[in-house]
Amino acid sequence: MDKGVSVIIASVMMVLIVTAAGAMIYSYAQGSFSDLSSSFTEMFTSSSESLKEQAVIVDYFYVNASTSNISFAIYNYGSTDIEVVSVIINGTACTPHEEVCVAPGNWSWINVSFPSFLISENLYVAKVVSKRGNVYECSFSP
Amino acid sequence: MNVALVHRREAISTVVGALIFLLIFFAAVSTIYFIMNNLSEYVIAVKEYQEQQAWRSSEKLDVYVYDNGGFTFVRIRNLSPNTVIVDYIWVNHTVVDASLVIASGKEVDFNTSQPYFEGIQVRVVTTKGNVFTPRFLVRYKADVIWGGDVYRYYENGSLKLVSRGLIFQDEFEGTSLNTTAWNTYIIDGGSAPSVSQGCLWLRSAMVLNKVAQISDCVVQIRVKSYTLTKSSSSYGAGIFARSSGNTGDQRSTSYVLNFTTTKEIYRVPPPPSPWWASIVNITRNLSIFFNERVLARNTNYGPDNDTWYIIKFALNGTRLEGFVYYDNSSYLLAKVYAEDISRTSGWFGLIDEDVNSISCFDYVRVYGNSTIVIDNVKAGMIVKLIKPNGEIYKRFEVLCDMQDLTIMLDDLPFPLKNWIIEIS
Repeated sequence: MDKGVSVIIASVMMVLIVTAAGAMIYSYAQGSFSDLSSSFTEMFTSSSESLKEQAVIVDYFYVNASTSNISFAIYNYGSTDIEVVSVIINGTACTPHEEVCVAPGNWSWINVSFPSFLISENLYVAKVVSKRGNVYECSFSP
Repeated sequence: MNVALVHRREAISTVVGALIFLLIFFAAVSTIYFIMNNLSEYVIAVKEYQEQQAWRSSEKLDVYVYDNGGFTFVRIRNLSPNTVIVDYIWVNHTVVDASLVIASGKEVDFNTSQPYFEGIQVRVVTTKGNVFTPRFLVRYKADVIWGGDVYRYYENGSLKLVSRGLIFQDEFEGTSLNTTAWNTYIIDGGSAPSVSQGCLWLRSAMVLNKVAQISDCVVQIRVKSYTLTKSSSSYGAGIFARSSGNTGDQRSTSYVLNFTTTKEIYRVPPPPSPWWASIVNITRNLSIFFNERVLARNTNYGPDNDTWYIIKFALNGTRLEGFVYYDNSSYLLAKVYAEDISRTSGWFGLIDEDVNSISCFDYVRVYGNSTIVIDNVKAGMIVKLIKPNGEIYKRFEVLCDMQDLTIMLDDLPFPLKNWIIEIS
C-alpha cells in the first residue's frame, strides 16, 4: 500500500512538474514571440509610414524684426499626413507657432521665430522635422 | 497495477509535453506569420516608394514665366516620358491652384492671374514633389515695331526698347500740307500739291522733305494712282531719295523709285522663260535699270489703277531696293534692285511725274532700315518673332553670349503692329 501511494504521489508530482515547467517555457516563449512580433510590427509599420511620408519645402518668406519671423511652405506629396514638430535653422531649433499637420496633396505654411536677425546674403539651412523623424531640408539666403 | 500506473503517468507527461510543444510551435508560427505579414507590407511600401522616386526623378519640365497684359503667365513644356500633373504654382509667395495635366511632349500656357513684375519669383510644384524654377520668357508685345529698332534683353527677364528706328512720319491728316516739313515743286503742266481726305494729292508735282536728311534708311508710302489719260509713258507715284537739295526739281539729282501706272513687260532671257512683269522701277533719268532686257510696254492700264499699294524704297550703302506690296501687306508684288555710288546721303521726296496721272499718298514713313536688333542675348536662347495671329514668322537660336542678334525683315512693310518678340 505504502508503495502504491508513493507511486501515485510521484506520478502527480511528475505531471505537476511537467505542467509547471511547460507552462513556464510556454509563457516565456509566448512573451518572447509577442515582443518579437510587436517589435517587428512597430519597426516595419514605422518604416512604412516614414516611406509614405514625403514632403518638400517649396517656398520661404521672412520678416526681420526683433526676431526673424520665417515662414516655410511645405507641400505633402506622400500618402500620409505629416505632423511638423520642429524647424532647425543653422542648428537652432525653432518650435512652430502653431500645430502644423499637412494632409496628402496639400500644403501649409510653417511659421517660426529665429532668435536673431537673418543676415543678408548669408546661407541658412533649414531642416523641417516631422513627428515620424523625417527631415526635409532647404537652404536659403535672405 | 504498478506497471499500468507507470505507463499512465508517462502518457500524461507526454501529452502535457506535446501540448506545450504544440502551443509553443503555434505561437512561433503565428509570430512568424505576423512578422512576414508586416515585412510584406513594408516591402510593398518600399517598392511604392522606389517607383515614386523613379517617377519623380524622370519628371522634367521646361518652365518659362512671362508677362501677358500685366499678368504672370507660365508656360510649361513636359519633356519627361510620362504625363506630369502640376498641383500648385507659387507666384511670389502666393499659391495658385493649377491642377494641370500635361501629357509627354505637350506644352501648356497658364494664366496665374497674378500681377507680373520684374524679378517675380515663380515655383511650379508637381504631384510627385518636384519643384521647378522657371526661366524668364520674354514676350514683348509691341504696339509698333519700326525697322531699325534696337531692343535690349535684361537678365531679370525684360526687354526694353533702347533706340527707335522711326526717323520721320507724315500721315497727311487735315486739309493742308505741313509746310514746315515740306517744300513743293510743280512739274510742267502739273497742279499744286494738296491735302484732303487724309491724303496728299500730287499730279505732275513733287513735295520735298526739309526736316530729315537721310542716308541709309527706308522710305515707305501707301499710295494709289489714277490714270487720267491713256499714255504709253505714264509714270505714276514715286519716291525719290538722296537728292542734293530740297527745293526745285530734284529728279536729276536723285534716284527715283517709280510706281508706274501702266504695266511694263520685259522678256527674261534666255527663252523660253515665261513673261515677267514689273510695275515698279528704280530709275535715274528714267533709264538705268533693266537695260540688259528687251523692253516693251503694253497698252493696258492694268490693275494698279485705283488700287492701294505699299511701296518701300530701301537705301543701304550703294544698294537701292524697291519693294511693292498689295495693301493687305501680306503679299510682295514686286522687288527691284539698283546700285548707286554717286551719293550716300541727301533729301527725300514724293512725286507724281506725269500729267496723265494723279497720285494719292496716304502716308510716308521713314525708318532706319528693315531690321530689328536685340542685344545682350545669351548662348542657347531662342528668339522668335511672332505675328499677331500667333504664327511664328522667324526663329533664331543664339549661339554665343553677348551677341547682337539682327533680324532681317526685308520683305515686310513697317511698322509691325501687335507683333511679339519672344525670348526663351
